[in-house]
Amino acid sequence: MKKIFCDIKKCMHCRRCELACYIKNADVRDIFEAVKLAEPPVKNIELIQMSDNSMPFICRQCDEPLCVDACISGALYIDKKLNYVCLDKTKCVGCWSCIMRCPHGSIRVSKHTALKCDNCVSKEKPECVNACPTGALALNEND
Amino acid sequence: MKRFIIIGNSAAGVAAAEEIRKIDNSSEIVIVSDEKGNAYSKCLLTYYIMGKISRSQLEFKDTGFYEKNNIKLVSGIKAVSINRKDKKIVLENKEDISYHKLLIATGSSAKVQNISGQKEGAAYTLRVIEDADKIAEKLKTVDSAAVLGAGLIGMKIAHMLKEKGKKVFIIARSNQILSQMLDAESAGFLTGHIGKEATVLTGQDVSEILYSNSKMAGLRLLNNEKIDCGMVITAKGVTPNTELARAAGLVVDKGISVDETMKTSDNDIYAAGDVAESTDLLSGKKEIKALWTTAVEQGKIAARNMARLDSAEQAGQEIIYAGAVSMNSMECFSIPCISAGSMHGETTEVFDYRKPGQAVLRRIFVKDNRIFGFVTIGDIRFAGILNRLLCEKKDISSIKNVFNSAKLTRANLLECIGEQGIISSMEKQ
Repeated sequence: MKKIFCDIKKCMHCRRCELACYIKNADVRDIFEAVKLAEPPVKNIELIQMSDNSMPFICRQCDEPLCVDACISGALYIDKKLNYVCLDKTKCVGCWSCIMRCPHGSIRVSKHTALKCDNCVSKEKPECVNACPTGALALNEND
Repeated sequence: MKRFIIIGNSAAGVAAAEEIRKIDNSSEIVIVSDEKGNAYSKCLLTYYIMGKISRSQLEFKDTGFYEKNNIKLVSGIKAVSINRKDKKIVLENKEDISYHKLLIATGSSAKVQNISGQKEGAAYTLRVIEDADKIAEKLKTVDSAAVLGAGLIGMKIAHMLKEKGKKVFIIARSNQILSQMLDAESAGFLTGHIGKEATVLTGQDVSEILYSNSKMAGLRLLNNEKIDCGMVITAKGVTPNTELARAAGLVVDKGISVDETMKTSDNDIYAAGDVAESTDLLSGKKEIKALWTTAVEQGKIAARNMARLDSAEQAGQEIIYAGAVSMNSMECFSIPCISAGSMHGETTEVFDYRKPGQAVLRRIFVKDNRIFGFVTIGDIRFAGILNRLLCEKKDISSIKNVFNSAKLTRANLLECIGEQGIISSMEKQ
């Protein structure tokens, strides 16, 4: 399965990955439209300042995802073609079982449903990878 | 040909069937259930009554799940006994089916509380689809309703009633709401915030149902107080469906006793889900954890052992179930809550954080620099990582000093775990 990886030597902490994720989740064209929304959009990728470095964190696309096992509604599922862990928002009731179980803290609350990274399954490449100006982020086969 | 039989068509049974099929492509898999139709999620019934999801959305597996996985579903027929000698189960229509390995995943039923003066059409319970339909129908005729029991299901029912525009009374025998999920302090905090939405009466019980012109008019409480309401829904917890196992002579204590491979006292019979006991990871005691996530986990482990342990080359390669931690999540009157572990007795330090003026509370219970329990109300972002620190029994002394402040961040939690995020493995070396 492919996963998003970061080469931190190349990461300039520019946060364009975060912006791209905001725009994708808000389903708008650009950041100017995104900021005008009544409720701020939620991002799945987050640049986190650790004690010695900053690095982006995102869903790890676990091989045995606890979030899927915890889901009471079948909203979380493993995509048949690419094996990505995906969320069907129309089925999510907002019980937060997935947030309770995710050991990486990767699932967010967006309005009344959960939100998680699905590697932009419907696109050719994840938006954060597309947006990364230095090529630090890449979608690679899990090694 | 080998045949696996699974009695029970819910979280544990379905997860087990799917898992067996992943390992074994050719054996026959049969799911037997006394309930008609495809598997559905009982946890979703309040959302169904609310109208938030449709009847078909109660089904948590995709259409065609049984066909795709080549699972035979015998539904609407009860399994009435197990003939262990001949390795057969007997159905209520007298037919029998032989098994190679059997999984009992019969789940649990709602505890029934008979209230004095109870007549048809006054008191309800919510466990199966038919109950939900009956409650939805009755709700069309009443303006107010009481919920007897303030556990997770009781609170979900109360929330549903509020969403349906009813005046809601919550009656709890214990001195707090959600006594299995929250410590008294957190429960009091949450009660304070939902007090505008519903009347919460703790330390109370119902003594009788009152009628006026043969229609339910209200309830009399133990303290003789009366409340006006048109129906009462009891939610006093669940009790495991162990009859089948008991009658077959399997060892049953609180639930069906199983070893760490989920095997019962019979070598060819396994048990999983609400009907099976598991070891509490914190106390080491055998308990029943009637949780969806535990049921799925147990079903999968039972399945792996059932499907793999036959062949000689895999002998001794049992998949071991370490045990479970109590954990619960819910949206309680629009306030998200997640808690896990133990919040009583044995912990020695409690770290409390509140956001002034907001329905946000975090309490972390610590002993010997380990998290034994936590409650997050209003802001649940860190619950998953806290849960991991708890389950993995991590030393948290490096971040304990910020547990009671806004300085607790994702960064220090991840650092405590040793999480390296998405750095490519080349660099990790």
